Amino acid sequence: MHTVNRPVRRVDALGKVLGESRYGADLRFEGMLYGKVLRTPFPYARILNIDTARALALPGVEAVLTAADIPGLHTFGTVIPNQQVLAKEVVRYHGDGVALVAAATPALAQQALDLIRVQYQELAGIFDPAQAMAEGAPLLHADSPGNIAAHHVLEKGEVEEGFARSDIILEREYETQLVEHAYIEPEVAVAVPQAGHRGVTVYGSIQNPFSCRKALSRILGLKLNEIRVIQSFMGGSFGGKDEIMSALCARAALLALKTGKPVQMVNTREESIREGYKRHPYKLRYKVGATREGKLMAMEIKIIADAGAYASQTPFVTWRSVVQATGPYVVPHVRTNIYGVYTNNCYTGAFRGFGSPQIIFAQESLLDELAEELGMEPLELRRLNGFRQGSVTATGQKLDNHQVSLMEVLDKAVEKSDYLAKRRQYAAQSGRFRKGIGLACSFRGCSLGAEGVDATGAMVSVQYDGSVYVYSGLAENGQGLQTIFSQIAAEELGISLERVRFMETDTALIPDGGPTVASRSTLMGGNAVRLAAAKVRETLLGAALEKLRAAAEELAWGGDRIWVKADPSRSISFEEAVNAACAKGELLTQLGWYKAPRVSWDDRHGQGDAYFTYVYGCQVAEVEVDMETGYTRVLKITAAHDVGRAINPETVRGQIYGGVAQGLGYALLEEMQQHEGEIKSLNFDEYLIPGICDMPEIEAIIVENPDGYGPYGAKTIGEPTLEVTAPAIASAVAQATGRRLRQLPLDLERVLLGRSLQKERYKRREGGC
Amino acid sequence: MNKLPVTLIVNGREYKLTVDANERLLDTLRLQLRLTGTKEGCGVGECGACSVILDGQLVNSCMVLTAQCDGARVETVEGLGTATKLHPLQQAFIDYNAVQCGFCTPGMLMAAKALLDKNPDPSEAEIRQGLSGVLCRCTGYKQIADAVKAAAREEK
Amino acid sequence: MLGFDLYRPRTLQEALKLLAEFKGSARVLAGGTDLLISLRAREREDVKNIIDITSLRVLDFIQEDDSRLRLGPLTAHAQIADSPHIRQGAGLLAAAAAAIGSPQIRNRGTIGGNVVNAAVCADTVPPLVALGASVKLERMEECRWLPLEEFITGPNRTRLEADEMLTEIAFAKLTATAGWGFTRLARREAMAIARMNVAVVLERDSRGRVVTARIAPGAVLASPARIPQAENILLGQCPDEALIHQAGQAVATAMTASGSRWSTPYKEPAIIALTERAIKQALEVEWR
Repeated sequence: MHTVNRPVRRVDALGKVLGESRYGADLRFEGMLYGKVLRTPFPYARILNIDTARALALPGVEAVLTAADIPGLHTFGTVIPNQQVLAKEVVRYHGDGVALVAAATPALAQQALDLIRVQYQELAGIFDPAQAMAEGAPLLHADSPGNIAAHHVLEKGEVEEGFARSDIILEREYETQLVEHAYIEPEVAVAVPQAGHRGVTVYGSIQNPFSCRKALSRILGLKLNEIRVIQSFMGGSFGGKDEIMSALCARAALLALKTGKPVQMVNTREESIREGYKRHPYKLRYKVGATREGKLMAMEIKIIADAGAYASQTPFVTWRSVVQATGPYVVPHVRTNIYGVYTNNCYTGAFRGFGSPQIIFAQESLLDELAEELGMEPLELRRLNGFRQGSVTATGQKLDNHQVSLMEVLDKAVEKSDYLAKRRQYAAQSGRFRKGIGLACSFRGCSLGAEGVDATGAMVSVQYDGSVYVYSGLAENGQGLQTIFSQIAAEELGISLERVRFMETDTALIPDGGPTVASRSTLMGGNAVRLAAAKVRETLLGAALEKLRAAAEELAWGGDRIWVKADPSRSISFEEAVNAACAKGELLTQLGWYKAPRVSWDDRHGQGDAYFTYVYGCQVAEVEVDMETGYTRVLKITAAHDVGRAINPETVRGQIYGGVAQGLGYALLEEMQQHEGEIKSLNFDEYLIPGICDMPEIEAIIVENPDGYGPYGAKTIGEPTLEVTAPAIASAVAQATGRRLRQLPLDLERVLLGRSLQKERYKRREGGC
Repeated sequence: MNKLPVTLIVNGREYKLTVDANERLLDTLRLQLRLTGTKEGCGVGECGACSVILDGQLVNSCMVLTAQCDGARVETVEGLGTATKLHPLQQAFIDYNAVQCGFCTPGMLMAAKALLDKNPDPSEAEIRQGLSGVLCRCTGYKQIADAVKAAAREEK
Repeated sequence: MLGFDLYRPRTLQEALKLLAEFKGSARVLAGGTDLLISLRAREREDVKNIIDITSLRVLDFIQEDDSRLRLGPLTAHAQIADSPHIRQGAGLLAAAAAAIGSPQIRNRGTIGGNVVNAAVCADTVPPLVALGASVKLERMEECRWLPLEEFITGPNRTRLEADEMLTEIAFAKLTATAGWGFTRLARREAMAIARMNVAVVLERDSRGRVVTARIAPGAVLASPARIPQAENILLGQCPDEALIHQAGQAVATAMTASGSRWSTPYKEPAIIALTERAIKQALEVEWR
């Protein structure tokens, strides 16, 4: 391999370091207006009347719209389309929009918002999922009895019997918090009416152009081919620029179509945080049974996830949780119930990890607690129960079609971090500052699994001068997809990377290949690129054969040349091959379409081959705790991840470092304050994410066990890097302090006092810092 | 609201402008001068995406009024280098995979430049201090710190 | 951002005249790190006029004479952190200024702004209180001095009159024998407001007995003050671990006496530790 598996430079880096790459907010069109949305002041209320007259009368205001002006449906959503682009009768959360304005300047648009009068009848909101599930609770969506947005069940073996045969049974409750994506670029959409015919083109920070187009079609009452969605450069997404972008794009498009002019809508940070969905807070109850020797016998798990006001991705997020809730461990008897529950809180959805960070925190903490009860080293408990080749998961899937590398990543992380020696060294400490070391493991199903249809496409187009376009239905969100796909195309065509140009994702130019989620890009999209490039290569090969008068198996490719293996002097350049093919009228543009291998799922029992392949990861965290203030510093993270094959080791490391940073924030800092549906931490002064000085040394260990399905054996890296960091840190803090904390984040108060004070925060009068 | 005349020297070029009293330097750069490399992430001086160098000092351009800058010299990412003649920091950011989504990159580059202008041979801790006013959600900062270290070596 | 008229006076007199004219509708703009944020948040609709003093270089100075240090209100945190005069004569103030925000904030934010804004968590205030600083308030043809503790009356409240401007902060330099400590607790390493901070100045005689003690915590009381109960514990003594702990407890007691909030169960033990550490720093003994 000449390009793949090498740390080539990112193809999109130059424009970014020059400040030339155009993000949504950098776009400007002739006659462009500025749009703003008015949001509800109440988390739950009936809209009685909206008076837009005064706003409309303001000079410079070109349109004021409400839900009544929506030509299509006012709702959208991937799974259950109950999210409102503008609230029609009822607002269900504090981020709901009720009216839109387009004006000549942003300041005028803001001024116009202030002139809109809305009469509300405030309703008693439900902010606690347990209350929402209680009998007789009012229904937030008429078609969802019990306010249940999702319920997944998993039944394996005979749980009662498993517990009966256990020597030790532990029951523990864990809790995770509401977390903000905190991409640095707030959302932007620009909608431009199409000239000459019905339709609209939308640009912006759109993670999933096709999901966006689908929502727009529904809302605008336009055909899919009347809507063109083109992704701008993305200032980060992490799962977060999906539904919120559908809403923003739809709003911009409504205004653009109404005024006949381009309309740009840019969220402020406060708007972004107020409206944007978050990572689900989970309450998890785990009961585990084990033998005296530490063999896991049974687990019974009940999880309640706060879905907030709308379904969003809750059904899928909770599904991943139910599949992976017992972790990478063999448990013969399992019963899991997970509920996603509607409330009037900020809605929750896709966020890097997608239902895994919560359960891994619980399951890894639980294993540590069990080890302690058994008088075992946590590492031994994991070695005893961890997946090995041929192990059977909680869903009854036999892991035998890929390398089950849990023990390998575990061993490597343990060895590199000097875990055992340090664990002993830190076992007995006194003093004001105490160190601890801990580890956590995970397995993760790659791509969508049995969530739904899993297929995607890419197009490779060789031009007659030997330059190459790559188009993809999956999108660059900052993770490096452009580079990876360009590398694969270059590898397959035997050419240098410089020849390849990746085109921004455009719904008009490529088939709908599903969303850029679930760490599926390299695996799914990479395969599609490879297939497309291979087809072009086949055509070029035909041309080369004639030129070189040799048989296909006699030829070798690479370095922009094709030659006869036995006699390298008989060779042609890539351009010559291209010219020869063109001269014959051959097609050098090909679509690659990759359909995921078969998966299966039995909804009633939660059994089946949930994902077609898995990855394994282990991280070791070393911390130092200030025992008098609770301040916790992470000293080092050692992260070992099996990626199948690293298409680009440098970008893989970038994913590991970045994932660890987000995991560290999840562990120690980040907790979105929300009181009775109102988001309190509206900007980065209140919602703290890790800065450069908070980051410890990170040792990234890339483990490569090429997968049969992946392109060049590559699998997945985006999400696994984040999901194990928090439990590893929690484990280390538990060793340092001698106290297990079962709620995230491990903030100053929890570490020092062992309990949360945040809940009391808004009960009393505010004041001070 | 009054308007004020302002002369700005941005990346060595002089601009005579009239600005609203409440216009932020960030808006002047992005909207009036169309220098959109400088980004807005929070508007309250927390994320540092809007960092520019004002009369030799690193500042958040979202927290400076343009009217306060009459006669001032402003350096933005656009003045750092060109595609054919990259600044060593830009080259190092490319070489060390210090760029992911790229939205914090201009702010990081300007913070790094301000640091190296004052301290050409910074320690790891000084680099981290120097960049501490710019938030990044993608990279975990390691490759950024490595790039700045390499650029400092390169410049020596 | 709210709209306003902006004025750029060229002299202090001109600025004071504008303040007098505008009565309560004007605010003075220095570094802007607090004022511009509140205007952006549309919190200050009463402010119609902004008087930008950033070009009044006469307000930007660090002057040292035999016994005193005098600071212009426009002195940026970065200047304070880097100033050899302040590092030598008021090291705790330099340490506090260095801990604020980020390079961007320290380059722009000023000590005058920090004092006038009077946030309870302002990092420079406890050191200034421990240094016994006074502030000079000027209006047209009149000026007065107030001790800082009297100037700040509560969270974001001061005795500054609508037509007055803070024009100088002055305090006695620490003597060569004085020790100081400044400790600070925040949720992350940089760019984080202080949850609490403590400034301590101690002087000892040749036998190691404390002859001067000034202990000023931040984000602990509604308005800044020294804690005499804590200081008295140390005065005349050669402080040992137990005594230092008692002083810390005295600060915590003063805090809880001023009221209890959601965070008090946390802040109580934490302020004891921060105080102990600041005292140990001042005594130059190991505190880890």
